[in-house]
Amino acid sequence: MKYLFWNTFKNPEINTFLEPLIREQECDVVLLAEYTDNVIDLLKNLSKNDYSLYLIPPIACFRITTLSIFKPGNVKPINSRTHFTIMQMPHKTLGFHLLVGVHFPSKLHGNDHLTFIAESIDLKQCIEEAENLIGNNKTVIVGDFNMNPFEEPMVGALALHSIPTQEEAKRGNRIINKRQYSMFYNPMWNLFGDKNMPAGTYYYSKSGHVTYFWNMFDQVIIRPSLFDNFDIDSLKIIDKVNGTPLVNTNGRPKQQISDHLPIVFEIT
Amino acid sequence: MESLWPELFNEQDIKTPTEILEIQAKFLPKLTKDMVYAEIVQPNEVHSAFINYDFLFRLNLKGKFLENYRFTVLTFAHNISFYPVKIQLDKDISVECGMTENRFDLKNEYEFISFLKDVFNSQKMRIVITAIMKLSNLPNF
Repeated sequence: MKYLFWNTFKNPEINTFLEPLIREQECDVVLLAEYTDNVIDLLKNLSKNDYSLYLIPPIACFRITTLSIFKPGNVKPINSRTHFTIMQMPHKTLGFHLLVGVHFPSKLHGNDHLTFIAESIDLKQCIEEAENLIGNNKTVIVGDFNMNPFEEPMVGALALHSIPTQEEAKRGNRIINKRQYSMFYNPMWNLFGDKNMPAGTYYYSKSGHVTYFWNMFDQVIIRPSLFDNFDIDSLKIIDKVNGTPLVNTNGRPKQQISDHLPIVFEIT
Repeated sequence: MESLWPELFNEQDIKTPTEILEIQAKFLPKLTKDMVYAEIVQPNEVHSAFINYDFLFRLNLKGKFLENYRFTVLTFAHNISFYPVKIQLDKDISVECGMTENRFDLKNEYEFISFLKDVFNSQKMRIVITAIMKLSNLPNF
């Protein structure tokens, strides 16, 4: 199954790009942040050509819009908070798995490092509760974390504990001071930098001594139990839709479309 | 030897945060055609913000027909004296109630009751409860 995540930058006409993107990528599950266009129009236009996606109604997380090939009654909500939603998503070969959509607060709005640590710890605890509740740890977390893969809340053991290599993440957990911390694998490290453009999913330049310019705020991280089902070559940052670039000539995201680039990946 | 204890231990005429929430929880099913109920539970994991407290609870909303779903309205903790009570509130509700932070202390029973009234009447609570009711009516749930 193919998954798409995109922060659509509150673009009221994003459907112009989103609809062909969903078609072109043949997405089964779509998660959107900052989506403000008309979702009913989007679904109607998709269905005109026999492409049926359904809106999964949100309960408490209104920062994520979820569409899926499965009818809403088949996607079971498990938990939701302001910044994330946890659902039990059907899957064609796995039966089902946990899917977590995330849109953490923005650093541009005064949220400090401790906010991200607190949010990440809270998210991890809720995920572990959900995994225990449904007896399944094939968990996929995707979204706009507003953090880079190397930041402490992404890597720290008590927080998301998402590790850049399968070799290390495959152990599943680490024990620190006699306490066990479960791990995730973060494949986004593979897409960082300019060997293959785009160099990240979000470009931001500021004055000051430290600026990365390119950031990888939009990420998918998975449990090691999904290694056999995760096709790493399917993980891509999308920079054009039907031949129309989502980036400027300098390779940076076109702000007229969205300041973030979409990501796609497959769980088979 | 005579007893060194005082003659009577009168229970304080004070309602604990848990008692107040349990009373309030009983109202919810009646208001939602038995679709939504509230539970007060003790979480397994203790967040570092609450590590120095004797008692820790969560107030969750659950749907009668949404088997595994829960919405945590707030987490609260107190010591043996019940008040002050430390609260961690859902972020959207905090903003709606004009709080600058979503983690804060309430000094006494009066403050706690007044706070709960604001929370229960927030738009986010209405939206969540309505959504749980609607989803409970979907086929397959």
